[in-house]
Amino acid sequence: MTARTVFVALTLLGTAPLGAQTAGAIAGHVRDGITGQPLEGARVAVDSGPFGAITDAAGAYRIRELRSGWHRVRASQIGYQSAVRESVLVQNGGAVTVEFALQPQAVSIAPVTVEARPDVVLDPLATASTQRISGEELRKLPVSSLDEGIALSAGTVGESYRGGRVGEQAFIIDGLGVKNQLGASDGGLGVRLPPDILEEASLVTNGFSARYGQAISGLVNVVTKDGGERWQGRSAYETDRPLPAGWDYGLDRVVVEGDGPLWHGIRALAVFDASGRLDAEPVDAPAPVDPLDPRSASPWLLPHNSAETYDAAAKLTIPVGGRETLRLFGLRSLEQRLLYDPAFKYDALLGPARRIAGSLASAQWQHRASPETRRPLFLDLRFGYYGRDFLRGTATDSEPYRFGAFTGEPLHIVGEEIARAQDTTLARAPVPGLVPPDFSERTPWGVPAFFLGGGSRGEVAWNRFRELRGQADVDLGLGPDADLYFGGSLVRQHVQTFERALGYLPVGDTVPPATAADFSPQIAALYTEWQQRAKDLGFTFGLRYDQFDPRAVLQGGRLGARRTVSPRFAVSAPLKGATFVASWGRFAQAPDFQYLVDAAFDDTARTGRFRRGNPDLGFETATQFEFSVRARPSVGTSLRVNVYVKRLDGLVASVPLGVNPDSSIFGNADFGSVKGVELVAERDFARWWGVRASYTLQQATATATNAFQLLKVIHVDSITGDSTPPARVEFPLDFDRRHSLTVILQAHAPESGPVPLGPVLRGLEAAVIVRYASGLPYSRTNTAGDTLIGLPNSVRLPPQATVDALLRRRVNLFGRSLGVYFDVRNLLNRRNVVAVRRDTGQPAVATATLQAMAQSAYAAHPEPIPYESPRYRPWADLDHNGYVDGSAELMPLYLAAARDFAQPLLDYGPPRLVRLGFEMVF
Amino acid sequence: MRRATTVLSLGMLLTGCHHEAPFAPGGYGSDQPFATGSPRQITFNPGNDRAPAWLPDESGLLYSRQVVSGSDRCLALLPPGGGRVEREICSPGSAISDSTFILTEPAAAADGRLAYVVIVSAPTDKASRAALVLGTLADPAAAQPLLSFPFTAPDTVRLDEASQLRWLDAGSLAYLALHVGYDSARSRDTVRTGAEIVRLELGGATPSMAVVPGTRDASSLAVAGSPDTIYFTLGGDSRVFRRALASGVVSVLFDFGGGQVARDVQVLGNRLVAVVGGAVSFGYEALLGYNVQRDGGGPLHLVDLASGHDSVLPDSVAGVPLFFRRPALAPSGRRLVAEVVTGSVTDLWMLDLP
Repeated sequence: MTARTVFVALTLLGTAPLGAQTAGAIAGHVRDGITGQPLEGARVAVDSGPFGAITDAAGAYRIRELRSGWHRVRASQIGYQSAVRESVLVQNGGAVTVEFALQPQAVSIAPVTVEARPDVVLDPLATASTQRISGEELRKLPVSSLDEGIALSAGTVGESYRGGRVGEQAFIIDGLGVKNQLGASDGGLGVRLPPDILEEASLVTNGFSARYGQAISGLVNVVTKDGGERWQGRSAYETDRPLPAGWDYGLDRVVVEGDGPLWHGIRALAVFDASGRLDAEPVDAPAPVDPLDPRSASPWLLPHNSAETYDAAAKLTIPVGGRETLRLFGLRSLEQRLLYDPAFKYDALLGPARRIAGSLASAQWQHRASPETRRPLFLDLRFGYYGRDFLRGTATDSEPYRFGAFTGEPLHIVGEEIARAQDTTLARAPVPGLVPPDFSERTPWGVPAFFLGGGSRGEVAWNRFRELRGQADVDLGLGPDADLYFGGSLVRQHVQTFERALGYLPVGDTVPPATAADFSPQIAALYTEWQQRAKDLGFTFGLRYDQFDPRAVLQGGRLGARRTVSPRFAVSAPLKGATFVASWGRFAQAPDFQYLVDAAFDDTARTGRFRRGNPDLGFETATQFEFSVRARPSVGTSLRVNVYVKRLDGLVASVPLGVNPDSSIFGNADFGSVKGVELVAERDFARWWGVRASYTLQQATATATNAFQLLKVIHVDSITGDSTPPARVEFPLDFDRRHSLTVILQAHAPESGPVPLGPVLRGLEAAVIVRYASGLPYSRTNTAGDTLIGLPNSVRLPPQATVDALLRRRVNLFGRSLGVYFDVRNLLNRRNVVAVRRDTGQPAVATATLQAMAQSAYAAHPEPIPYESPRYRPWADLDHNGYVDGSAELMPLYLAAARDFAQPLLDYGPPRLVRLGFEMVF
Repeated sequence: MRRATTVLSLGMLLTGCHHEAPFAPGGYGSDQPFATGSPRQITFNPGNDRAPAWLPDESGLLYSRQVVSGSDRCLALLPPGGGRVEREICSPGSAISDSTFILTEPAAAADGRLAYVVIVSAPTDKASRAALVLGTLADPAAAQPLLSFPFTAPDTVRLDEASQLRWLDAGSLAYLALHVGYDSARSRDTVRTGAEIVRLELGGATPSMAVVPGTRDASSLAVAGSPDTIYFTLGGDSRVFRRALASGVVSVLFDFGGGQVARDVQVLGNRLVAVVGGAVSFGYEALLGYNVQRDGGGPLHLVDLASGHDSVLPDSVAGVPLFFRRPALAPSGRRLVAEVVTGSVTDLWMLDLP
């Protein structure tokens, strides 16, 4: 540790915080119900456990580090009748205000139970812009995964938050940071949390706690459930099997969850969630016009596009002594997919495939202070292992489906052993088992053009990212008006990559050698955060120190660690029934480690460019200002407005390397900005229904939209040889969605009491999600595709809209609660255009382009097709001479093949997707 | 109880339903020949189709098919009556190398093994290299080389390639070894001519081979079910010989006489088929240094060995003469497939036998 590091660490430890994000708090006052005077020394207890607090001289109390979820709060004082608040919802990162007024009494009598109405909207101490969804809500909405649930939040476009690139977010699972630092921008996490294990998930998009780093645009904060105090569970099966053709995309999903007490207070929870789909990414593309196209008869399912996922999670909650709790959590996810490739759609046996396995294991030891202590201290020690194993290439003989899209067998990828051994020497020879593709003979058109088969793309890509993380978090209560948080984390990581392109050919002039990398980066962080309340004002100060060291050897030496300090500040105040929050923060994240290594991740195969990794990359940073107002216009409604400006800097982009136009290197060269307004209006669920609407107006611009976009930092004049820096024009980013509106409507008819149309509506649950989003930007080019028209991303796709609905009916059978539900996505079957051709601005290819494609293919293969050839098509042999030959016979086939190949299938969003579900709650 | 039964039935009904299947390409070919009658053309490849050989159960017909877009040749499997090629076996090297790969002379055994010859020539090679390989019809990619050419036989004859592979039994093969030369007077045309017949025993760790005596300048080879008997013809000779391999006794099975050159013999029971006469020449070629039989095809003769009756099979279609080569008599004896030479292109034709 350098002197500078020591200095920064000491500085941090001496300063102060903002609310932690894994748990919430309950705060308030206990007063005399007659006089209104504060009661000092009153005891406030939560549930039946050790959580609680003693009120101070002002009657104030604050109970910290409560796990999110429903709690029972009891206030008691000698000489007063105790009061109980049932069902107090604690949300992570928030503080619930619960006020008590105790009635004096002469003798002890039973406590009075009252309904709590905690108000998190007006909580003046919640400075973060947090949008939450509970596990229970997830099950009531037409969403199937945590990602889908988070995407309902304002400011999200897929996995882009507030206009940032994908990968600028981090996941916090039970307080432990989890990020695929190798390839967050294009790789995903690799582990999926089954919705049934969730207590609550939230998206934090502004001044998130200094406790968390490795993100500059958002935090997805997930809290898992603890096992319950009695055995309970849920099992469900969803499918679209009985639905008619066109509604059946081969879905089967099985969920089993169970939790309950074991012994000695130990509670357990286990979930298994498996999903299979024959068409994992269905598209709502128009049926082809040519009746000979086999898709014209069954235009819905795409071949070789199936997926199966398996997620299993288990958790043990072990009380240790009176105030310590140990939580052990494990999660294993496996996804294996056949990847639809239009070129292989008729001959997909050796089509591309992918397998991703993720593992997460964590242990949390939590110490809680005694309720009586004036300066309560909470200590969390966490240790975690996270691993992600990614493999993509050619599936060997695909395993047969056993049930729906489930194979029950691991998908084997050709060359997997060479990749895992990172044997670049052996990989100079053709990879055994890989065969070069030839033009498919199985197409309706027969001609040797466009469609491939008999071989594969020849790619073998493997990478593995593993990390061990240790983390300590301390929450020190400085009385009811102040909290101090501090802690740090140390992460040891291991990165291994391998990629071989065109593996069926030996390495040579046109075939780049295999690339491999193996290094062990290290990330460390320290933070401190101080939260101070002064009357109704809340102040939060945070400071975070991050460093990462790739520890990669470069030209015989090693580069040192990169360091950065990120201050954060927020102030909140109630005014005229509303709460105002202003925040400012600087955020930093280490770049994806994929940009530190050469080539990699099929960039070479995709763009034809050879890209050099740069181990000398530094932090990507963002600075964000936000002003928000939260108010309750009426008792049951709330309104939130967030206005923000975010400045991004040092984002990774590709810059030319030397004068070779096909050679580039990654650098911290991109900058940009995001501005936006978010409006969230909500009517609390009451009297059968509730509604939540969120609208986002946003503008996101930068000089590069992703790390692979070539950024020219120097222009060399071809005549004079002079070098000049070109204008660094910011243009709309890929995720610059200007307008987005999401409305969630929920209704639930009670199971008892007067209900109109009782037999029909009683116990019926309904949820509808309406989404409207203006189009994302794209770049127009000329017909040849080699010249941009206007600035990049200066044209926009048409807007998209969907209506999703879930209808659930519960019935009781043999004392069990059974449920039947219909889950419908894109109810109106609106055909959303999600991409277009850059040359036409439409999904369809221009007729002239089709003609040129066909002409070019015919010129390459004008040879006649004899009768015995698998390419011979009797209907095309117009003169019945045993040959399909000559332009008159061959060109119609080439034209039909071109039209087929150019079908813009993937330019359309999903069609109406219906699933029928059965569940049993026990 | 009724509700429980209903729920259970519904659950079983759901899981019993089948999902829709994605679209798939249809079948676009036929297992019937394009033409009817006898003889009828069964391949129309603009390239050369050669060396037909029946599967032992007559369920298909293997041959060497020239790839239209190049010089490579693959083995192809046709339905027994002709029609669309069902399978094609090509060298994996074809797609990754600029060398020419020729797979030819297929011979399928009853147990599914498949012997054939691979000829490889790189653009810079002065001469091609060949190997006799053994695989299986089910997994031709796993073929292993049995013998590499060229080599010098024990009788000091240099043998460059193998052709007309014949299974004697499960453990032995016989083949017609070839001389391969390059006729520089004719733009380096490759000249292949029979050298002698070789027997190959597969039983040991490495195959052992023996030249069959008295077969110098052999031009064709046939077997007829007995592992001890081969039938062969010699260059420039009108006779068909039978040789008992164990005893070494050689006899004349049939003599077409009249100074005609008989070759490409096939024998099945009392039936003998051979190409006799036609566009054939035999003689010593000083440039190459050995006897050469050049064969442009000829008429097919069918001989009833019991009666000695020799008949010429139809040798023209619509007045156009057909020049046959390399007939392959079907195991049933009811039909045969032969090469027909038309100019520089060779296609396969099928004839029904009386």
